[in-house]
Amino acid sequence: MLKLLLKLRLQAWFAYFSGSGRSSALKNKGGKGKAILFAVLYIYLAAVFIGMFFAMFTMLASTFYGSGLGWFYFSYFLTIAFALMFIFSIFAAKAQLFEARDNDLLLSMPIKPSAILGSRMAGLLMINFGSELLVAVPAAAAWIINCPVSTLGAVSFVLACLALPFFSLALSSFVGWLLALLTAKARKKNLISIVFSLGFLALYFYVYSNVNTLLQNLILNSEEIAGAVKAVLPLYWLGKAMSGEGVLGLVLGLMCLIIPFIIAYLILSRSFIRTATTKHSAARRKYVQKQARVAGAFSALYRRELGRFLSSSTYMMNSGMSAIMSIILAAAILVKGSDILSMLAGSGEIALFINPMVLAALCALAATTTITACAVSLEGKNIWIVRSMPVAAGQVLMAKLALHITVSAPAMLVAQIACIIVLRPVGLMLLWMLLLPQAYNLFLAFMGLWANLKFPKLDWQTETQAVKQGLSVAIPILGGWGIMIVPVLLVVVLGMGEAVLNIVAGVFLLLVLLGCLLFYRWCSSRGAKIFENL
Amino acid sequence: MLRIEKLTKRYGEKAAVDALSLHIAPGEICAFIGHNGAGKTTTIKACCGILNFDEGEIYINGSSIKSEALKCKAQIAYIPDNPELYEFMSGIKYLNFVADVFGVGKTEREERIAHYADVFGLTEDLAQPISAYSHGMKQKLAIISAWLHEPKLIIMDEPFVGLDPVAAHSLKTMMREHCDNGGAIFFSTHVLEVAEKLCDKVAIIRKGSLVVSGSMESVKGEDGLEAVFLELEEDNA
Repeated sequence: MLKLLLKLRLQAWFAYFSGSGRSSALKNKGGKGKAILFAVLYIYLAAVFIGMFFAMFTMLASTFYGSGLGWFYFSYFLTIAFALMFIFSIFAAKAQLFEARDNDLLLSMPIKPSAILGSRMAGLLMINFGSELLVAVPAAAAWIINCPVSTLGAVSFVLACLALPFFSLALSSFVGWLLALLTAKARKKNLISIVFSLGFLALYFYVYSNVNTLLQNLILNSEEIAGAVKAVLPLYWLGKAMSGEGVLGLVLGLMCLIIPFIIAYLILSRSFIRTATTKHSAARRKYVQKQARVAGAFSALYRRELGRFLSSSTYMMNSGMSAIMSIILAAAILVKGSDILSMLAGSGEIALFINPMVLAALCALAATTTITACAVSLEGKNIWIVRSMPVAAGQVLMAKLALHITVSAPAMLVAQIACIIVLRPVGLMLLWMLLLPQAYNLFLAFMGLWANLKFPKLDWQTETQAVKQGLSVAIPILGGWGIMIVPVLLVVVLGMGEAVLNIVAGVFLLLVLLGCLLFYRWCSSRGAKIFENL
Repeated sequence: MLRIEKLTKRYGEKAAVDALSLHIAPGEICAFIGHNGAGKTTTIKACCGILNFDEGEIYINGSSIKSEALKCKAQIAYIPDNPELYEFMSGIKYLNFVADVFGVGKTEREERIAHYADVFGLTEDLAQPISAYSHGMKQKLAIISAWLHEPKLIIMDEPFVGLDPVAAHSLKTMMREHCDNGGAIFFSTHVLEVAEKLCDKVAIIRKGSLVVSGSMESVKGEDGLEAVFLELEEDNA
């Protein structure tokens, strides 16, 4: 039975990651090509992570080995791998273990609850192993290249890599349970998810922007930090074993990783039925009749789109990310911009690139808003509502576009103003800086709508499938960045003169506006027809 | 009110609905009966303009659903077999959304929402998110939204599924009142007793083709609708 459930889980994960859970009518359309595209995309992402970690571990391996702190290198690796696994699996643990939609169905069948739980945990373990590989491969490679390897060290490394995902799963299950408990009872579930997501985002930005300082501090103060880490005995024991010393430490360390998982599994399997079948509901709100506010059809459609957007943290955090990034960028430019400018002032020709590069960056930022790229898919099973109403499909599509623009354009404007304040562009450059990012934003909103109409995914089980996956979301992001490369390359090839800059920017703006017009006409005619037939 | 002329819808080689013709006049309630997969939902969706068809024509109050879709939709209300509503909205927001799209004025919508929500005992729950509603509550909300803009024709797919006996009784009363006021109703059902007592007309579909249609009295005869339906099924097996 466990084997069957595992197979089911694997199929679900495959569909999830390959974006193959699409409407049956479209299932066979470009299936192979899409699978290849997804495979290439995942390989690329894995390569980026592995490359980044390899650079970091290469810097640390010889330094730590040289100062006799080889064990600390591995302790550090374990910490990073654990953090990555934990971050990648925490929300999946919450959804898979405590909020899975097929719990009732499976529990009604002659299947042991422990088998259901086991199959779900096995799926999560796969995510953990996958995440761990992104760190383990570069950590091992950096060590092998720079330092000697002992048999005990190699065996310990493999065993620790096998055991660590279990420990991470035990902890993410616990935090997932806490999160599920917290969000189930809360009225503002969305707010809690957003706070968590923003917390992670802030942490990510802090680490990312300070990575060099953090690494330098780690190297400079390695002995003191290692001294502190020694207090965390399992980390020390495993680090020692992985650097080739202490079999006992290896056994004890492995036990520390596995035992919490066994405890978590036992607790969860005992309480699984109760956890899975408890009906969580927020406090009941009694309706008090108020005066109705009457609005037109388009306004109603727009408010419907806005309501959907604001009610889903997944939708907001993924598709509206550029709004947050634009604000962060504006703040960063206002705070740090002058310092960077004065630093670059002495760098000769680089200073000339600043305005066009910032312009390109603003345009590239617009590509990270993917509201229209999933707005059609998000209609899902509710699509019958608008289809049975006396509203033109074009109007429904324009409401989706309006949401995209109202979320992204003001935030983009804030970033533009910050750039203008700091960079003080004059003449035509000021005009380009005002017009181009907004026009490109509109163009990408149309492109997202086009992509989603071409590649809709209406039969999703979780919103995440519609919001994050599929070609429709990848097209405006990658397409938006890809198109931006063309004018940048033109400027580089043709030279950095003001005339070249203005001609390229002007022609690009015209093409973008023409693109908007063509997309608008397509959405109003063929796009509307496609929507009517979904 | 509803005129279906030789409606044909194919899925690949298979005809889900084959040259089906039916006419429902104002003031009539017509039950649409057939086994699972007979083509009821396909026909209903085609009548609402949410499913394209290959041949034939459907007229709502004289307007073609193909060429004047929006005009037709403005006169229709549709309730699907499974009321998937916007879970991110509260009940009242959903009703206001529907009222806005159909252009229902402030006073009318307030009165109708208050009345129908009271009829179905849903008033206190209107502020709740739809995600917190049971299947029956969603069905009640879908029914209220259908009646909200006083459509001329109401098309429903299995409307009694999930309703408690009181709500089912209320719906039957509302259906009768609607038709007494000149409206028409076309609905599918498997509950033959309800169809027999409530409807003026009945249409029985089998494997995409209309087997029999006419006034309830003439179709059921003395044996009753169930006996006629079972006999037709056996004859066509």
